[in-house]
This record gives sequence, C-alpha cells and structure tokens, in this order.
Amino acid sequence: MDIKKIRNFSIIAHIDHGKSTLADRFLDFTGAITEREKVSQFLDNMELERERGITIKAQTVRLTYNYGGVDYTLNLIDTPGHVDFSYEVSKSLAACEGALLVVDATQGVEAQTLANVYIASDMNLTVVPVINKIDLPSADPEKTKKEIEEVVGLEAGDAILASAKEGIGIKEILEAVIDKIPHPSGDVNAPLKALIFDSWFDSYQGVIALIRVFDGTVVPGDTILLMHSGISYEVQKVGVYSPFMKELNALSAGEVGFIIANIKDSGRFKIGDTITLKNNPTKEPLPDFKEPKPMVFAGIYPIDSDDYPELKDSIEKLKLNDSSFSFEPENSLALGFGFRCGFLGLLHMEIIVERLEREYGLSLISTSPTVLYNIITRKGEVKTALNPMKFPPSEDISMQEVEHIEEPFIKANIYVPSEYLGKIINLCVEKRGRQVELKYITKTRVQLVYELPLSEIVLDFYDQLKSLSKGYASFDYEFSGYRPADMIKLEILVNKDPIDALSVIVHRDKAYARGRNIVEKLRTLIPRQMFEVVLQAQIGSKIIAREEIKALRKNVLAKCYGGDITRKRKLLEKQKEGKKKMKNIGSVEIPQEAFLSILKV
Amino acid sequence: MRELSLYIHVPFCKSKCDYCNFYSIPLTKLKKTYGLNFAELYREFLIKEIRLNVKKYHLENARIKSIYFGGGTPSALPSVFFSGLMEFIEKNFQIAADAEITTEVNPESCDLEKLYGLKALGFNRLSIGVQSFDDGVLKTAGRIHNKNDIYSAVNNAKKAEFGNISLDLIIGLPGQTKNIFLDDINHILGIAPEHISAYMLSIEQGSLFYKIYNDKNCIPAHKSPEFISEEKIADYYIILCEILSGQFYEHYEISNFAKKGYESRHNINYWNRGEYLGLGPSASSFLKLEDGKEVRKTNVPDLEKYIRNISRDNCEDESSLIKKRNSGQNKNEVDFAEILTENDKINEEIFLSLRTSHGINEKRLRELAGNEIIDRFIKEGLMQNFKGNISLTIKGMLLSSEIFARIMV
Repeated sequence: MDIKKIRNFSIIAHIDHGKSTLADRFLDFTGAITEREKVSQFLDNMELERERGITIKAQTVRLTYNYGGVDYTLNLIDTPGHVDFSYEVSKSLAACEGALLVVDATQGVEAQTLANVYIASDMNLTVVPVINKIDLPSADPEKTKKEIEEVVGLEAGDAILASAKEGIGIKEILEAVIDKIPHPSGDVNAPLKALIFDSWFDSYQGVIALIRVFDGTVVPGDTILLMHSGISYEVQKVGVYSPFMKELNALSAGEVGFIIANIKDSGRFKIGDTITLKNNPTKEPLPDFKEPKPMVFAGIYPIDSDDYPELKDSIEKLKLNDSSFSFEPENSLALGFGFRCGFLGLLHMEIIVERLEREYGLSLISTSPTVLYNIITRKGEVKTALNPMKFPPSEDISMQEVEHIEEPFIKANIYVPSEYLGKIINLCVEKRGRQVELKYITKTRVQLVYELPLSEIVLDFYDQLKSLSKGYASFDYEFSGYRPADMIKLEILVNKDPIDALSVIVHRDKAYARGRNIVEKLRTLIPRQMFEVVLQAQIGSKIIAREEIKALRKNVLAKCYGGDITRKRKLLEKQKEGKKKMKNIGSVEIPQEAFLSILKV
Repeated sequence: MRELSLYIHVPFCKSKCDYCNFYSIPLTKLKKTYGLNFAELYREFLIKEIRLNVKKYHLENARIKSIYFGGGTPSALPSVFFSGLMEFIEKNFQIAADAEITTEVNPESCDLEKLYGLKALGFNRLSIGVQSFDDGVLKTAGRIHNKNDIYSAVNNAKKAEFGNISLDLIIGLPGQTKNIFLDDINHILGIAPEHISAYMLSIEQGSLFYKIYNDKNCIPAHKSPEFISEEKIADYYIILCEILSGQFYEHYEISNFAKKGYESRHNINYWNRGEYLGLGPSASSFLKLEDGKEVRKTNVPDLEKYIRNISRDNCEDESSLIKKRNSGQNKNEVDFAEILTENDKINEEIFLSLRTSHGINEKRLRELAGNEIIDRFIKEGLMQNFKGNISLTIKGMLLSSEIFARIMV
C-alpha cells in the first residue's frame, strides 16, 4: 500500500460532545457499513459502553474514501474518554499523525479534552478543529472558535462547522483529514517496529491486539518479539476492521490493524509495548512504555460465600480481557474469601464490578476503595498497605515500629469558569489540597493546579466539583508522589464486633466527622432487624460515634383473603429475594450498598 | 374419599370500609346494572361455575366438609340467594354430616328473620364482622354499624340458636387507643363467642386509608384519622393473646382463637393444604389433578369479566391461562392459574403450617431450613419446640414474614 495514501487519525472530544455519532457518520459516508449492518454508535460495542455512553476500550476502523479520483485509506483510531485512562489515550494518539478536536458548540472546551489535546501536541500531531452540534439553537460557533483559540491555543478560523447528528460537514471533515493531516512516514524495508495500542481477549481468537506499524512488515507465520515483555509468539493472523474483521496478507509501515498470535492472556500484549521480529529486531523500542499501575484498591467478595470459586474463575477471565486491573486473594473475617483488586480509578472499578455482576451473573460486595499507603518503619523499611484491614491500629502508629505513614498525591488540573472559583478553591482546601498555580486563561476561565491526596479524589471529589460548578468545572490528574500524612484507621463496630470490611483509613483531622457520618449513613441503610443493632465508630479503643437501629417488632401478612395462598407465597418470595441481597455479618443482615456507601459520606 | 371445601364469594357491599382493598361493588350500582333480582342472577352464575369445575376437575364424588360464604357482605343478599345455592349443593354433592357451614354477616344486616332462614338452610356458624365496639373508631373506619348493632346481631344469633359464633376484630384501627382496645376485649369476653379472629390492621394499597396515609393533604387535618404505630399494634396483639389464653381460648393460628373444638375447619383446610373450590370473582381455588399436579387459581376480580368467562363456558385450562399471564395480559383481564413446583409446595408447607400452633415437624423443618437458623430462632425466642414439632412464639408470630422469608427454600 502506498504510504502516502494513508491517514491515521483519532477524535479528541469530551463525553457527549458527539464522537461516537461522528464515527457513525464516517461509516455511512464512506459506505463502510450497510444499513442492515448498522448498529447505532458502532464504535462503542460493549453493552456497558453503550449504556454509559463512554468508550472504554479503543477500537479502530479502516475507511476508504475517494478524493479527487484517488482512493485514500483513513484509519480512525478511537480513544477512551475518561480521566482514569490517560495512558491508553496517549498510546492511541501515538498511533496517529493527526487528530480531530471535536468541540460541542453549546458547551465549549472541557478539561479532559484539553488534557488530550496537550498530549496530542506533545506528540506533534496535527490537530484539526471541528465544531459540532451547530444545529442546536443554543450553538455559538463564533464563541467556540474563540475559546478554542484562547484556551487550546489552536488557530480555529477555518474550524469545520458540523452536526454529526444531522450529517452536516462530514465530507469537509474527511477531506480536511486528507489535506491537513500528514501521511505516515516509515521504512517498509527496515526491521519491524509496531506499537500495541490496545488489546483484549476474544473467546474464539484469543487475544487480539491493535497495532500501528511504524517500520517494516508483519505477515502471518512471522515470529514476533514483544520487546518489553521479552516473549516471542508466532503470528497467526493480521488484518483490519472495516468495520468488520477482515484478514490481510500483511500489515506494513504506516498501517493500522489487528494481530492475533494464539495468546490467551491479554497481559502479554501490553499497551505501549513494541513488536518486532525475533530474528531481525529493530534497535530501539518505541518510547514511554509504562506498566499499567492500579491506583485504587478495593475488596470484592461474593455475597454468597459458595460463589467464591465462580468469582475466582470470573476474575481470572476478566483479567484476560483487561490487564490493567490487578487482583490477589484476600480474606475478611466479615466477608469470608474474596479478592483485593487494584483499579486505574473509580470508574474503572465500577466498570469491572458491573461486568463481573452482569457478564458472569454474580452478586458481589465491593468494599470502600482505598489508595496504597506506605508505612515507613523506624528501621527505614517501606511497607505498603493497600487494605484498611491490614493497616496498623492507630495506637500502634505512635509506637516504636512505625516512623510515619505516607500517602499518594496527585497533581490536578482544574478548569473552572471564574464565577465558581471561590467554591472550587474552598473544595480543594477542604480536600487537603495545596495550590500550585492559579491562572486566568481567559477573562472568565481559570486554570487551577492543585496537589491533592489521591484518597480525597477517590472519595467524591469529581461529583462535588461538578455539582459546585453546575457541571462547568472539569479536571484531570496525574500521580505526583508520596507525602507523609497523619492517617489513622477508623473501625466500624456492629453490635460490638469490629467489621473489618467496613474499616477505612482517614486523615486524623477528619476522623471524627467521618466516623459520625458513616454510622449515621449505615443507620439509614441497614434495615431494622429482629433485634436491636448498635453501630459504633472507633479509633484505637475509643468510641467516637454511636447509632442504634431499633428492633423490628412486626412483620405479619395482613388479612389477605385466606384462600389466596398464591399471593401470600409471592409476597414472601419477594421478601426472600430481598434477603439474598444482604450479607450476614454474624446475625446482622447488611445490604450490599452499605459497604460501598461509606465511600460517599 | 375425596374431601372438598367450598368458598362462595359475595363481592357486594352497602359501602366500602376505609381499610378495605378487596374487590367489591356497591349494592346500589349492582341494582342499577342488573336489576332488583341481581342476587338470583349472580346465584345462577355461581351454579354454572360449580358445574364447569365439577366436570373439569372430576369433583362429582367429592364430599363437602365445609362451606363458607365470604365477602364483601353476604348478609346483604336476600335468602333466595342462599336457599337456591344450598339446594343445588345438596343435590349435587354429598355433604359431610359434621360439615361446617359458615356465612359472614355484618352487624347492620343481621335481622332475626334472616338468621332463622339461614339456620333452617343448614348454616351452623356465623362470622360477625365486629371490628371494634367503639362507635367513634367504627365511624372513622367507614363502618356503617355501631355498638348497639353488634349486640343486637349477637342476640339474634343466639336466639336463632347458632351455637358457633365467631367475632372478627381489627387490631390497630385509627383512634383505637389502648383503653378503647381493652374495652373491645372486655366486650368480647362478655359475649364469650366460640371463636375470635383478630387481624392487625395493615394499610393496604387500594384502600382509602392508604391514600390518606400517603397523602396527608387529601383530607382536612382535623378529619385525618389518628393512625396507630406498628409498635403499638404489636403491643396490642400481645395483650390480646395473653388475655385470651387466660380465658381458655386456644391461639391456634396467628390471627385466630377458639374454644376447644371450635377451630374453624374451613380455615384449617387452607393451612393443611386441603382442596377447595372458590367461586365468584376474585375467589381462589386449590385443586389436585389426577397426575399429582397441584393447581392454584384465582378468578378475575371483576364481575363483568367473570360473567363473560362463565357464560362462555370459559373455564380455560391452566396452561392457556399461564400462557396468557406470561404474555403480559393484564392481570385484571384473565383468571390466574399456576401449577405448583416442588419448591412451591415445600414453601407453602413451611409457611402455612407455621401459622398454626401445631407447627411443623421439627426434623422435617431442620432438614429443609438447616439447623443453624432454627437453633438461632429458638435461641432468640421466635420459635419453640414441643413434642417433636416446631411452632412460632407470639414474638415469632409478629415477625412471621421475616422468619418465613429466611427459611423458605
């Protein structure tokens, strides 16, 4: 294939700004997909993704477009759209020479978009601005153009005005991709050098990886070497999605496509790894490879302990599909056998738990997520604690063994309209943040840079940020290192028994308020039992909060007419189903949501 | 010998009580729609329904062990309704010599003449819907009788030589203070009926109380009934149980008390999972098929649709009813039927037998529910074992739904 006729590009857009609809239009317009095959929003093909309207796994599609009598091959590379997945974004962008910046004409530029544009600029990608949703009455293309110029620093005078929904501007966009985005460069005759920018497990084909070939050619039968993993495989198939899977004889420099090598574990095809040929390797791997690193950790347990083997099996299977989460067996006094799992972020955690429940039909309890703390001993050893259960009780902290605790911090980039600045600064202070920078980007738009403890972000920072700014503030973050912090363990007791799965690690200054809030919240979530239940919060051996749930006195079927046994049985069956969603801790039945709810208080 | 109970539903009332969510039609409307001889019309549909069911379930040779006329307000109907039906039943079935034949009566429609008539037709048990003896409480509940009506009904019943009288009481009607409730008990003890049914009030969806309870603004505040808390209702129930047991009433089922030998056979048949045929709109039946399958069905709760079904000979078989139901047809459009699974049968055995003081065989329950939970319930004072059987304590009866939901399979 003539490398000059190839364009590799992706779409940078905020959630809801119309990326998926635009991708659909490209498929229509280039005739890649027939009416019969059309599934709305083709690129988001996981059920969960479609429901949430966000892209989790990247997809790529090859389009053929005839422009000026010449057939061009356009590879659209989709990128994830959430702050939890910025490494994956950077690798998808690294496979491209250019990107469309799609901005909603009614909303303006959002922080996540900006963060991705910065990644694209760092990689010297050509960014083509597109202003979408111009059909809406509240659209303001001129203001949006100005904002793109001021906020992004990108010339937007000739930004394409489009409405993906109405099919306006699609031709112009495709032609701009060809005119403005450079064709890939690369040497077909050099040793193979290809980037893995996504991989997933397919039950029929094994692991499928999406790659961008920079140099050389890969054909089925080649023995490839994964440079970071140091493992070799024989290539079985290569090909492209157009949008349906299509096998090819080879993928060469400049091309984007899939590769299959009979691998059962997606962890082998690491995102960012470089593929070369074993007997003719390239000299240097591609830069900036990172091992996926979980940031938050939570316990996942089956409600019914008999389901443990099934959970184990399902987690192992899911891991094949998503190598970015980690798991190890864990044992809780309250919840029995389960797993401590690591996630890229909270959204990632929600997705994994939801997939386990939905795809594998399990009823699960996830405990409140926590971050990874370092415990520095007097001897200078660094121990990590990723589980509040294993965290030393607060009395021990002052004792000989522990010198101090360190917690992870992140650097947050926040964009906020100036009218909400005060509230957002207040929020950051409340969350133990330290201001690094405050910059007016325009007269009405402020960029804030804060260092914040990751644990506070894991809580409800994002929700609060959105609600305090009526949805206008946005942010992204990166890990910035460990700092000493006065963290202690807060335990929750149910009828005098400490429940390990309910304990949390909190900053000392916030312990009292958290303790009170948690037991109050639990009181509303735990239904009345046939006996009184006492809830307590405790630090060390000191009780700091207490609530009671009065015993239930009466639950008798009313006088429904005596002969209608069916109705009685159904009412009781319904109550029985309700009980199934509860976890028995001792004889107290605690609903699923109680465990996670302590996160939200 | 195959034994069968008959339930005849009379879904007609002079006026609807505020706590009631049963299907019922005002008598005035009935007369307007069907004419003055509506009761005879209705009787003929019931007779036709019996015929259809006898044929379908091969009930020709069944012996009737109890007949129960419930409502609604059966006593609002003229005696021609009862005589015609009883005549038909006697002609077509063998009625056991000791059969219990009950009708529900309301205090306000309980004149002596009617009771003599019922007695002559073979009725041997009256269930009087007393609910409370306090005129204020009765009025708030939308009842159209008062204390005097109750006493004259009871006197008439005794005059007509009914030797088996049951009084219905509701625990926790709005405005029923503890003193009023204790008075209610005293009145009952004074009358000394053979049988007492006492139901704790629950605010049922579809009743006027439900509406008021959930929308405080739907009537003026000073007219709003003073609802009794669940805690208090539980206390009242315990008081009633203790007082009645001191008066030699056996607490033989969660809501039922009787002097020895006067337990309601009709109700016991429900709890023992005996067969019964329910007739009329919204009535339920339980029948065993020749292949061992067990069927529960409930007629459509709508008089017009009921009439349409019966006149079309439309006693559909279970599978077609089940199919209709599953296909999402409105539950008010078609009769309901189900064939019980083995699990259903076990669950019914558990929760029906545990409603009674007799309880369930301990070994069997432990096999079904597991030792751990049974031991726990005994330890917590919710269950007791006696002579190889397990039954609920009073505390357990109050929490019976909680308990059943945890031991059903």
